[in-house]
Amino acid sequence: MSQSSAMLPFDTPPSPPGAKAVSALTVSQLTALIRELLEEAFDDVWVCGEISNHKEHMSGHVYFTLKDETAQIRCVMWRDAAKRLRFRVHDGLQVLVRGRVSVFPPRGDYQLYVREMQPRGLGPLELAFRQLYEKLQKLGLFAPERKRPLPRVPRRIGIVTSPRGAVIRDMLRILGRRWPLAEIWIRPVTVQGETAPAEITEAVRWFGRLSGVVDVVIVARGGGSAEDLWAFNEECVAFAIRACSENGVPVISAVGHEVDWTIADYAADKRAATPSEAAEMVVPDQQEMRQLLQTWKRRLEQALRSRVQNARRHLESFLRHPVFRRPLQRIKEKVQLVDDLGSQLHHAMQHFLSERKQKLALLTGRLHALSPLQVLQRGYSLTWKEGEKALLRSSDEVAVGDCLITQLARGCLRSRVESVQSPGDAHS
Amino acid sequence: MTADEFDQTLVQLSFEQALTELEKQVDALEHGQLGLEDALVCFERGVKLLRRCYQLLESAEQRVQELVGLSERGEAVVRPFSLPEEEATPGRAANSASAAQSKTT
Repeated sequence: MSQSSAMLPFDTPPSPPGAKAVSALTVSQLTALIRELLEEAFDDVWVCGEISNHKEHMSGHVYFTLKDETAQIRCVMWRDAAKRLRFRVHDGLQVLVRGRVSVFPPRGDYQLYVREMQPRGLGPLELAFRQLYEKLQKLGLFAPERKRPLPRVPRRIGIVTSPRGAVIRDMLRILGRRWPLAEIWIRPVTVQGETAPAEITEAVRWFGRLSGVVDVVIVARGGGSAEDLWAFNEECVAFAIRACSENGVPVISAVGHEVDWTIADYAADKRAATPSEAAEMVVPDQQEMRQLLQTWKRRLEQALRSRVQNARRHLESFLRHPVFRRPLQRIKEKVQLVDDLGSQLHHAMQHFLSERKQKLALLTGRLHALSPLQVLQRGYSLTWKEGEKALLRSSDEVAVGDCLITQLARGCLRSRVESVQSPGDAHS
Repeated sequence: MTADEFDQTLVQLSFEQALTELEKQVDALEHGQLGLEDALVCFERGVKLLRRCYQLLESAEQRVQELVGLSERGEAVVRPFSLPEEEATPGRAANSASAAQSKTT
């Protein structure tokens, strides 16, 4: 009995006095034993499962449960490990975690102490990128309507990049060749590593506060691994870029090679595939500009020439007008008018006169009919005493021996009265 | 704006401003219903703006500064920027080498 009881301490009833002491374990001891066993057996394991009950505490430690269809295990991720995660942990996320199994004595739970976590299916950076992309897109950081156009000819260009390496050299060379008019302000930063995001953020914010002084900012970095470019996938950099743009200084992002797209690229007003391309796009080319100026010069001259020709044609069209072409025409016309009126007047006068003449002739005819001379024609005559004017109408008026003048139709007679017959006699 | 006033503002124009203004004059002259006198003014201004643009281009010499920080008043603090020594050296060495060569030949 005592043998078996020694083998099975948990079944051992309280030791009778005097019996060989059976070692009973305290809960703590037992727990410690279990812990040892577990820690030894599961010091470094990879486990895959789905995250649920995810909680992030104020302390920065992260708690969750990893589960599959039939089982679950509690997990803890300490702050230091959690801080290294680039992506956001959330319920339902399929992950691969690495850690050790141990016991949390106060609760008697065994749990997985996670020191690394990777999303399944995607790389961790890729997942982090997608998560941040979605978040910022929802916040409207990438909205096309927020993109600010680049200045056509910047006077001052800010560059946020490393002062070392080929990137800045290439950019300065291109800028110097294309557009030496622009002043370059470089804000040197480290472009990878722990401090890079904060340095880049600060530099971009500075330029954002120099609106009106600096016309455009280029945030640049040469090619590298996804890890190298990571600073440009940080939220704070994206917000700094938007803030700079909202302040009136548009930002060009030029990170890595053509295939590399970073959050900064989406947040920026314009993405250049490479830093060199950014330098090309930010300024005009002076050769092209000179050509443009030449073109405009020609157009200016051409436009003026045609304007002058236009004016000349206008003037000439005036000159072709009869008034200018035959200046005497009007006067001649007037003269003709006067002439016409004159002749009209003349005709009217003629008419008037001839009418009067006709009337006169008529009157004359009528007068003529009444004329005594007309009577004389018919054989009558007029007789008056010589020296008197009154016509003789009676023989009483003359005496023998008077001289009488007799007017005939043609000619006159002078005769002397030889006898007088009284009017009564003649009738008898 | 009188011709004198125009001349005064001209020298203060940045390249872009001059360019924009020039574009306006060209456009006005080409498509505007300008009187002959206005057209001449327009042309004269255009020529002056062209001259200003060329002048700026000819006098251009790229300045590169380092933004050191912002003052309390928010003004930029800058100092001349030069590429780091260790990288600039090979280029210079090559230059001086070729200069030396050309001397000896």
